[in-house]
Amino acid sequence: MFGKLMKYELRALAKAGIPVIIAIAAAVSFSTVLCFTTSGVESTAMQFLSALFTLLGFPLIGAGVVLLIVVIVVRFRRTMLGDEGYLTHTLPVSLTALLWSKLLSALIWLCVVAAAALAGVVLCAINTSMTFGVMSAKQYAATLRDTVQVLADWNTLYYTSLGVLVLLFVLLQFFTALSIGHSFPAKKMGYSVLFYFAIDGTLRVVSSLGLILPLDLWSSMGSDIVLRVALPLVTAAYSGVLYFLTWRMQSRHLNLA
Amino acid sequence: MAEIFECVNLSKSYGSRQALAALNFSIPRGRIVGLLGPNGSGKTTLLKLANGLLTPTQGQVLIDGHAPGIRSKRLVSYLPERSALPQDMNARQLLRYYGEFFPDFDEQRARQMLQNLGIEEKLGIKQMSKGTREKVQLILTMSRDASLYLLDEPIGGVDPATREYILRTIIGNYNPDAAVIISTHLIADVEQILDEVLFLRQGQLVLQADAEQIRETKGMSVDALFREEFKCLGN
Amino acid sequence: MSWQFQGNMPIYSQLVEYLRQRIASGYYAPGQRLPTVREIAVEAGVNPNTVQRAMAELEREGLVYSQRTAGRFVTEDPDRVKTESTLLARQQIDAFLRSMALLGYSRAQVLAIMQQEEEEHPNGGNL
Repeated sequence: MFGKLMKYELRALAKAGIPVIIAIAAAVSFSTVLCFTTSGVESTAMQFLSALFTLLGFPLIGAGVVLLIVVIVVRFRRTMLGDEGYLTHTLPVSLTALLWSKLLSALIWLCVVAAAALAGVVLCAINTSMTFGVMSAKQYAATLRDTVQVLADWNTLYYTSLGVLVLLFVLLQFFTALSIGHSFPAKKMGYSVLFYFAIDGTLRVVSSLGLILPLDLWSSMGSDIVLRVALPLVTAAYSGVLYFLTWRMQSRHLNLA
Repeated sequence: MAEIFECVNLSKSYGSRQALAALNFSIPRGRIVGLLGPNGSGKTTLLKLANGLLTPTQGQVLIDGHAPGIRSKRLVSYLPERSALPQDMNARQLLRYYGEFFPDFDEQRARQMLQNLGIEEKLGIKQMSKGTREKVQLILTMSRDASLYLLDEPIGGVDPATREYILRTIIGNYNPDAAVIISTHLIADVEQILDEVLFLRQGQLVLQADAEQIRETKGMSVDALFREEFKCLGN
Repeated sequence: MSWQFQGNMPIYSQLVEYLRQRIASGYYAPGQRLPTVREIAVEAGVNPNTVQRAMAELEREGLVYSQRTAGRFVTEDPDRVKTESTLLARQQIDAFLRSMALLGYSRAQVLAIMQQEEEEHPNGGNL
């Protein structure tokens, strides 16, 4: 049953994920073609134009990831806490399976889109350096190869894993806030927003206290340990708490309108 | 064998407001039961509890001897009061969805019923009128060979022809070994198809009786008895 | 013939009367296979258990019989159907005569009216 849930979640998110990837690919292709055609040309206007397009690509690519997160959160609300919840919660599957199918499919699509976005950023950066004459069109392939070689190491893997963990945490914060907000009989969205910021504030206070109080302990360990070990552990712990809250709210305090 | 539906001392409160007060009753298989009461008497709350969409404040509701969970959800076919159909699907995708998640779903039967109503399988849920959506949801609910059908206001707010279609669909499709619970405040329209009636008033069970016996011993329709029972409420 | 039920009387006995009429009138012919309980329930818009009970009553009266696998059939005995039909006709006539008596008409007067009616509108005319 979990496989079937995953299939439907992945398919539903594909409706947003595929257009985002196509948009990123189109933006990068456009920038690349523009930069190649203008690289040899002695026209400041053309160079300026291609640089502008390429630079504009960066926020667009970031917007893709944000858009997907919005789609995921809206879908979670509609299928778990809105009218569709009447069907979702009466399927013969466990709440755990429902929640994890949502989380996993969201993470998979976010990773795919983030990877596409990252590749887009790298390519656009190379394009920009070509436009400004830092390198020539002939060096393009070599530069690309070097970049990939630099990226392909354990650090990248570490930061990717951390990134996935942070995405999980970000999603869970939305899911928890919605689940608590929708357990109220009315003003569900108002309470959801309120609880989002309440959770955010609480975690900030807890984190600050955790950082300040045993300050001697942290300074004795060195910043490297703090970043590499404490950060993932704390993020995982917060995610665990948020997951439990989401599960608890939906199993005990579900209150569909 | 355990009764297919049983309430044991079942209570539900929303804050200080008590929606259901210590209900105790059971329903055997093979019966069509009317859950009757004015708006706000606790009908929807009871069906939500049976589907695990709410948690009892006290007591329990048992489906074939088990509290709501995966096991009970396999046995129960539920028609909620509102349209719960996934907005991003069309009729055909919906049939497949039901078929994949409910092993007792008869896709062929559902397809036939859609065809009889002239509903295109390519039609998206979003494109359907409210009435069509309600019919599709009923067809999906009744195309399961479930052990318990829980139908919340299946004939509320529809025209007489549709009402007749809905009632005939229920009679023509329910599994004869199953129990059907129909919640409604429109008693005159359903009483002919009921074996048994439950009257709910302000969260309390005031009567559980055989429909034919009411007509036989009191010489009045269930609707007339209901009106007499509830007249002081002026609903 | 459409199904209409009085709410203040058991549906079961009304169903028995409807089905009895259908058999007596030949709508369901002797020896004919009857629709299933579910089919009748859907057609009449009533509970299948009630139809089942009505069928059992008709079986008891000998108007229908059931074969374990093939379903239910109208009795093959034409005399049994004839008796039923005559009985129903008599009941109707008795009831009619009773209402006429309440209006102050004697049997002879009723017969005279009937005679006149037949002469003016043979075979029911355009009634």
